[in-house]
Amino acid sequence: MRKLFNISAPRSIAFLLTLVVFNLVTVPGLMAVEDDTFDDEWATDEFVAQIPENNGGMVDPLEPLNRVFFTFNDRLYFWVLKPVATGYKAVFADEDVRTCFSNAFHNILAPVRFVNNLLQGKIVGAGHELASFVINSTLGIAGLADPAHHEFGLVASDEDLGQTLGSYGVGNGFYICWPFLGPSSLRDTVGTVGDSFLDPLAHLTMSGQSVGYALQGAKQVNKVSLHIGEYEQFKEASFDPYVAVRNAYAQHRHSRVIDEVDAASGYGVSKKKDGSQDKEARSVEDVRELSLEKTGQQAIPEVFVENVQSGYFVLVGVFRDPSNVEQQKERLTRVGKGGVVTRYHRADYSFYGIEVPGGDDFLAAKQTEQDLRMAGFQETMVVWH
Amino acid sequence: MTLQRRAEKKVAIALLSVFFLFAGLQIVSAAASEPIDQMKGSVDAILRIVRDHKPELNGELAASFRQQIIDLVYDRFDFRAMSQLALARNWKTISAPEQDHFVFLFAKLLENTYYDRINSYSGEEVIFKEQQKKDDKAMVSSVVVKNNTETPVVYKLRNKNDKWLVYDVIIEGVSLVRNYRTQFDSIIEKEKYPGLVKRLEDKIANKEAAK
Repeated sequence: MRKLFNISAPRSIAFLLTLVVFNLVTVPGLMAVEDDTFDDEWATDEFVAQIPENNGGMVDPLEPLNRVFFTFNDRLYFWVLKPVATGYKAVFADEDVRTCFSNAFHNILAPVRFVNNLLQGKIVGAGHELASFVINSTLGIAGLADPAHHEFGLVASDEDLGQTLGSYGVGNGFYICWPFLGPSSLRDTVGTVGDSFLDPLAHLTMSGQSVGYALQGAKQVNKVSLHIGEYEQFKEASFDPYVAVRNAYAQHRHSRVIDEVDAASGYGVSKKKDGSQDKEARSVEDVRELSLEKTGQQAIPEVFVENVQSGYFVLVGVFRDPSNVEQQKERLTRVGKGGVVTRYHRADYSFYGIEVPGGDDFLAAKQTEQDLRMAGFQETMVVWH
Repeated sequence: MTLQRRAEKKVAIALLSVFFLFAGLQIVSAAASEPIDQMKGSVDAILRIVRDHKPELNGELAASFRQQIIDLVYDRFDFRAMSQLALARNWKTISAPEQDHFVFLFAKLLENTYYDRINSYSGEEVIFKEQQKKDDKAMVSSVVVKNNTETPVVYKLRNKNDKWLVYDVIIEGVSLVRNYRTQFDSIIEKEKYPGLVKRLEDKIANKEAAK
């Protein structure tokens, strides 16, 4: 959803640059780079101490406005982008074809990555980018294929100006959710604007050529078509999607700035603190072979939920102490309900659940739950085995 | 083929699978010490179920396989620790039974989320890359490869009786536990702890209703 169109008005650039200067002066290092290899929260004896939560260093003074734009983008996705991308997906049904387009869009941004690698002193990364660009633009037929990666083993070193500024110690400033462009921060917005000078598509758009807008749109639709369902799943798993996205953005950008992701996936210029960099990082091909080698049949643990019949149940409570189970069962008997005891096994302990059979369908189970709540059982939930 | 020959073949297959089962067990126990091997063992076992059985029913897994997968998940993930870390300072403000109840709810939510992911599996490959160990903690990094995109996934694990259990998953630099922590924080701030429990229950109920 990010970056549907690049910002083009020169006036906004000037304004944003003023802001970044301000930002450099007043709030550098808002996003402190900490040694995050192993969570410090575990260092304390009782491992949940007071953990300061700062949204990963992202303050959000514009929250009310940002929420409006977030909702706008959300609608834009469901009402426009997704239907269009779904139609587009039907036309270009072959995922390989869409991957080729995506490669080409990625390839023309090589100048951005090259320059930012240099700006961060990553000579190897810059070299990889330059070589990839040359190979893919020629052998890879205008970047449609990615022989640089598949044949030559070169890996992208994905750097942008936002990360460069971050590596210089510039803080995020604050969170901004742009309409069309999606999540960003003050720093990353400046970065996006700066990078757009090296983006051929942005040049086309800025000079007002309709082909520029068309290509920007195509780029976005193509990208969405390769990722349909991911935003939905993310949203479904979250309670406050706005907060979830903001935090995910902060964490993701933080990890990009400190190159945690690069190190983790074994590419890019890794910056591990103990100096053992890349010693164990194996190439994708090596590991692929290795994993095939090791794959054997494996035992599946025995069923971890005991005494289970299939269907809907209303879980009345969970207990680790069996004596509580008996008390609860007696309580149930007093209100005329029979409970079955189910033993739930977890990786390192087990507990008991008392469940009242709730019938074959969810609504019937919900009704049973309602009855139980009326009878004073508050912590109930409908489960399905 | 005569009936007898067929029966013989069946016995042979049965014996063979028993053999493989034991061979598999040996692999598991031999590799039991290293976090990366334990993690890989769990993920491989889950993927094997999906790969073997997904095509059977129009790409949907049968309920019996769901249980097998969920069991493998519960065998590797320390949902209690995840709950504790996600609730952070709020963990100590609730009673022990409330804690147990919360762990159950949060685990159920993550179970549903994880299972959705597994169910939308479309040929991705999971490659385990490296591990870092420090005392009883470890980080195992892997990538999920689909076409040209590589998604880095890092598992954070803690050792409990020689078993490495996951207490956080970091996808593209985004920690699951931290992400939930900010959300839980903001909900508790506005709606207090019972409000959070209500939200969890509602979300799970919606999901269960869809089964």
